[in-house]
Amino acid sequence: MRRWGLPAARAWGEGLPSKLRLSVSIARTCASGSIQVVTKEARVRAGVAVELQLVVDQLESRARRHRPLGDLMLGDLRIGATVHAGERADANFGPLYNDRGRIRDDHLTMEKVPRQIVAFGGGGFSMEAGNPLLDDYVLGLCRGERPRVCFLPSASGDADHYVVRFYRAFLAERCEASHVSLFRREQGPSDLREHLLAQDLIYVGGGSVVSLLGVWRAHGVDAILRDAWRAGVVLCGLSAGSLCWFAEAVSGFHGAPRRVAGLGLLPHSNCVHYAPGSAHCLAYRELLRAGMRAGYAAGDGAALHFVGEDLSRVVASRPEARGYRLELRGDEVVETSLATAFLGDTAAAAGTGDAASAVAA
Amino acid sequence: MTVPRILTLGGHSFSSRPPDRAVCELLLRLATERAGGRPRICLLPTASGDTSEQISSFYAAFGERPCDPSDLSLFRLGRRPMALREHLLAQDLIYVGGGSLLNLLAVWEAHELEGILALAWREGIVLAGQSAGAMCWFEAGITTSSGRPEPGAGLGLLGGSLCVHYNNEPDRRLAYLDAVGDGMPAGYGLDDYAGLLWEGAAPPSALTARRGARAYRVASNGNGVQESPLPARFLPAPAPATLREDIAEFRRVANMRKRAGWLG
Repeated sequence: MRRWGLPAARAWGEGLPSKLRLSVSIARTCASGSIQVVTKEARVRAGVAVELQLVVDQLESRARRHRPLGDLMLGDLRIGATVHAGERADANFGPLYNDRGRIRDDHLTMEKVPRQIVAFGGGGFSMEAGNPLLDDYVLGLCRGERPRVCFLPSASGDADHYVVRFYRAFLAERCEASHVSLFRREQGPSDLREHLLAQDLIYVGGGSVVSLLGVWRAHGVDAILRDAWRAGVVLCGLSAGSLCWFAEAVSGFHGAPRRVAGLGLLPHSNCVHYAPGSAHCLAYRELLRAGMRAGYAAGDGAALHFVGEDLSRVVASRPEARGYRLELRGDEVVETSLATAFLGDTAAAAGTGDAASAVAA
Repeated sequence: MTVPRILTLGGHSFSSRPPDRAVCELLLRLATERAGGRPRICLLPTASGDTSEQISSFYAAFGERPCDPSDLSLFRLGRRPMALREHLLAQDLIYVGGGSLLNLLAVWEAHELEGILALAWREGIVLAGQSAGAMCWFEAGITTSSGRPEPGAGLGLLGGSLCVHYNNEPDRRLAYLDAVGDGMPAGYGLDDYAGLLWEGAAPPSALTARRGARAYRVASNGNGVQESPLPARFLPAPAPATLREDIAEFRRVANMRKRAGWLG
């Protein structure tokens, strides 16, 4: 279904009363020549934009199911959604979207809800048993007391032991945890889109990024995740679960590292498990010289936090972990170590490591 | 032996029960015919997500037999890199396990395996599989990859369509009959432990490893979809392999414990 755009100028959340009336009208021509207008409406509590979006989508599909007796619906003439704020019909915020014409890109995004991706170079419950700093960080980005968190273990082939470790790390008292296994669809939620768009955080596990992208495409999860990101669901993951968000990624999965095209939500390249001088580092540099776009690398324990398409912060679960910017200047690959904030107790870490390295330029 | 061969099976496991032993014996015989000696047999567990269960049951079935078994786990290449093309083309038999047909084909496509498998087939490497691993060779099949049984496309090395677990999963059979009635290419229904052996361009020969398990030709004629059972050759189960001394010892002790009531 086409997405309804909520224009930036009328962003949700602020200045709106708590109750809204939403209506969707579709005007269609019929085989008999008449024009049929179907209107469906619902009363909703103003909430996060994604919920309004779901209501509008539902109203649209209800309106589409309507069939006039003895006639045949042809094409859409016009389609529109209107929001009436509060009890008073005159407090009308006007049509949000009222034509099937050109859909501008800024029209599709909901600026009030930041689009966020946290890409771990490695770490979290999968790699750092007993160090929950990165997992706590991504949970902290969610609103609400008990955020809804969904784990996607597709890159591991939905390994059972991995799913079990996820539930052990994301306990019920902190969040409402679920997982989606694309190898056992008969057991999971029947409507993937509905389930994933209802999350606050989607956490993608490690494994094979090539297999991951293949399976996602087969189930349409790539498109759903793009919509979830736009709707403000926080996306995160480690290793393959980091590479997948970028336009290009360095995959070390076939012996020789190679360039893999990811979902492209972030218009950069990415390399995980990065350490200066390592095999991953040399491979990344070689790919950059061969024309790969500039991008970011993260070591084990470091995470790149993107807001929109831009890097906003680098955080780490280990005092020495770093994020890096890599780009080609002339024929030279330039690596810049990025200021990385250690999430733990710096003083405690000083006992075992170097406190001064907690924040490095 | 350069006749392209495919063995498609409606459903089985790698247990030590007689019908499963009969299927393994047939797989081994086909591989040995191609090799002319000790054959190489490779498992592709992709459709299951490369589960350890499927891989270990495969090794349990073939590890003790006169062959060199291996597995190619596309989800585990990071820990164990393999040259996909070289490894697959060096096999005598490639066995594809069951699971999600949709994911199987998507992951193969992502790793560019379709071309390699088609080449292996033309070179006479025996292709085999059960469930999703059988339907993948046809133009179409009935898959539960998205939850409910529905038509899904395959690689199309074999013309027509296939429905597995035919009388074992009634919903799947009904979905198949509907789909064939709606214009899906005609094909075959295979019960668990029934199979079809395809050699070159000849019509397939039906096999069964369990009494009552049948293969059906399913096609639509002018007035509906017809299912006609095919005459099938029965595969007798070989005698169970003699157990290794240590395993036999372990089982004796386990049985004694059970009898003594020490469960745990």
